[in-house]
Amino acid sequence: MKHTLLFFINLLFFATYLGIAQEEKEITTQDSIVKNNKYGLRLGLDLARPVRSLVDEDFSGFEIMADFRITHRFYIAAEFGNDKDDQIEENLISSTNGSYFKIGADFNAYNNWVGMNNSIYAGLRYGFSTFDQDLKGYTIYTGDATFPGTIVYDPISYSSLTAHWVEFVFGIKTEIFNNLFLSINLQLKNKISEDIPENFNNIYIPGFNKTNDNSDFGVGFGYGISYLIPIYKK
Amino acid sequence: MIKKIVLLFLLLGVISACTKDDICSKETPTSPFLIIKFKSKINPLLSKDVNNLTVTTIVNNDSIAIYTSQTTDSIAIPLNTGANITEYLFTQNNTTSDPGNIDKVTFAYERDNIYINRACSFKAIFKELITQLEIVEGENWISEIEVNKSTVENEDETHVTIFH
Repeated sequence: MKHTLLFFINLLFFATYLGIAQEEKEITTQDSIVKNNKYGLRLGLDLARPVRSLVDEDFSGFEIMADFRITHRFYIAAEFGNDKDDQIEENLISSTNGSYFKIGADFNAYNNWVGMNNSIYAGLRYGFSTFDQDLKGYTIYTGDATFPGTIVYDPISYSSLTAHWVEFVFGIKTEIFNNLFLSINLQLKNKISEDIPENFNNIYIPGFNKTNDNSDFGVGFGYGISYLIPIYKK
Repeated sequence: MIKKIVLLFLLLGVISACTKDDICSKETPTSPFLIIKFKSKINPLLSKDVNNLTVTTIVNNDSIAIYTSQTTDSIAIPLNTGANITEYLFTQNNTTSDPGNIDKVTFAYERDNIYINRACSFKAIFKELITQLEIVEGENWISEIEVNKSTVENEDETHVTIFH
């Protein structure tokens, strides 16, 4: 279900994008003397999380994002969010709830035509999360069917866990209307440190997403809508 | 240019949305079996085969055979992860024509549940293992049971030796 949903969100954005691509072609060259590079604070909201919250009963969350342009190509960027996710695995059920904060910078590699404010960017983030994990129940794995399976319903809460990671971000931001941007990005994460609960593990970390048993890597996607509050032009 | 990159992203999105869930690999050590070796009661240093050994346990009034009429000097049997006692019937000389000699052994233990990983979840390990042979005067083929390791946490060593 989750997968199907992501697939359709992707399709939706793809369709939206085709529309935008059409509009871009109509832009004509403008007077190059005019100061056209807008500098300001861009505030946004992740679109995938609220949609997933509505459709997927095991998930609820939101993320707000902000960036501030400091030079022609560099932006200071940050994200703040909250995730609650139930991990329903074949042999265990656990629920994670917590907040995260990411801060870093984006580098815009795209050479805009005059008057355009699109970006193809790469960024780096430091991510930090504080969260609680509730192990709700599990089965004892035996690899043998002689005895009936043993299911343990003995909820254990692990609270005030923390995790730190670094994140590479690759993404695109397109101005669809004046000062209004749609963005999509891919995040590759590498865990630096975490509090590992005794006799359990962090199987989901807010902001980092699903963890992997065999490595410190994580992935994420973001679909955002954001509004630029222009402060000055250069 | 932008369009191509967007396409790449969408493709990545679709691929990552379809990744397989983790599966508990067969190589991962989970709840260990109890390893039993059979030795000679005359010379306790020598391994001794049990002829046509059948090993059964009772689960919900059903008799489940782990081994059927096998001649062997070592077996691996599961312990119940949901109880602190597992009973086994060890039958010697069990063939189609001969029901053989049945000895009942009770294994009693404490359990700890240990986290493995996301896919395999938890395993049980067994501690403070003790055994009890039901004595039927003059009828037992087992002469003595010795617990070598009272903590059963892997399958690398012999936990119990049965002399016969």
